[in-house]
Amino acid sequence: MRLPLWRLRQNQELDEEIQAHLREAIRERVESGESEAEAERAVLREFGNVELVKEVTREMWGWTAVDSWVRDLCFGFRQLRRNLGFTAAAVLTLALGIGVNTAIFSYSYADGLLFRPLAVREPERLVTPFHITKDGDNYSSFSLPDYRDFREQNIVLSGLAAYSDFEASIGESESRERLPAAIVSGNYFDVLGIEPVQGRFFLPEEDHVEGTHPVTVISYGLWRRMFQGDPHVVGQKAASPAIPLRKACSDASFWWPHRWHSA
Amino acid sequence: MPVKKPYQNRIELVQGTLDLLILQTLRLGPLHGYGIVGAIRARSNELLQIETGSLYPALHRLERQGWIAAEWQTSERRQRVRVYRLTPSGKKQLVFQRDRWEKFSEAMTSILNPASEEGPA
Repeated sequence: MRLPLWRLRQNQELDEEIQAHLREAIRERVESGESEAEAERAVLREFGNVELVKEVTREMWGWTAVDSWVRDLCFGFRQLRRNLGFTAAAVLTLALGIGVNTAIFSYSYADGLLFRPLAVREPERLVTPFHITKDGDNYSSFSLPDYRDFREQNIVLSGLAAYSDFEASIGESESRERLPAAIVSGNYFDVLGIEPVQGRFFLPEEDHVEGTHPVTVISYGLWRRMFQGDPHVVGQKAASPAIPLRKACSDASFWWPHRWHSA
Repeated sequence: MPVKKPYQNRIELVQGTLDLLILQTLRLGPLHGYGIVGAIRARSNELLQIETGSLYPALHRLERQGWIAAEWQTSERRQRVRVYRLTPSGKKQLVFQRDRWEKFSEAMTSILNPASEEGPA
């Protein structure tokens, strides 16, 4: 294992220091009459295990732990290289797991809903009411009459809007598509504080009688994609056998805070 | 892996006193490793023979603590030797350890030579 330069030097200096000590001890013994061989033996015996001393000192410096981890790491890599089949299986499994997690968190609900602020005026003040029964069940679905009652008697929230998801057929004959849609209360966009890009949202009188004044708001993304951003589309009657609709247009590809889709 | 246990035990037992001996020895002037061993032997009237195997780990440990500092010098015989000297913080540490040693010594004395009060039989 290759050591960094300064550590090599540190080890070398330790060697040199100990060698110098041994030499001097030998010299002293020789001067007082022993033979070189005898002196050397005696000195080494007295000193103890030279390598052991060096190791104890090096250990005290504290790099032995790092060294042993690095060595283990290298061993691990060598083992992986030798068992390519196993390595491939492990790498693929990890890649799959990591990839799936990344995808989920990049492209889906999490990203749109959790990590980006809602494209409404004051997202931190947006709440969903829940209905909690005596048994402890809770629902976030309400009937229309209930909603109307709540709205009339509401003194807590600045506004109460309702929505109901469905799938709509949008588009002219060949380019017709099934898209996620929702029926919303007339005050939906007011409560959320969104301004339309083109056209207008709903007028108060349109909300009063059921079945009259159907108005469609399409997302900006859909507007560009299906109608090429043609401003004349706004305000027209939509040719849809399901529900005759008028169109208006809202900004942000994300005009629908409770559900995120790339339109 | 080499057998380290017995070695470490020996160092630990003497560690406190060895540190004190080294610091005190260097107070009287800088020395290299071999010189320290000789000085301790001489000043203790040949009573204390430092195990050289414990000396170098101790020296490097004290150096790491910043109580002694080392530099390479050339001896009269034109050899490179690593000479250690006491640092200011080392001087403080010496005072502290001497104090502790004296307390310890007093304690030992009073245990080994109990006063003339009657102890429990």
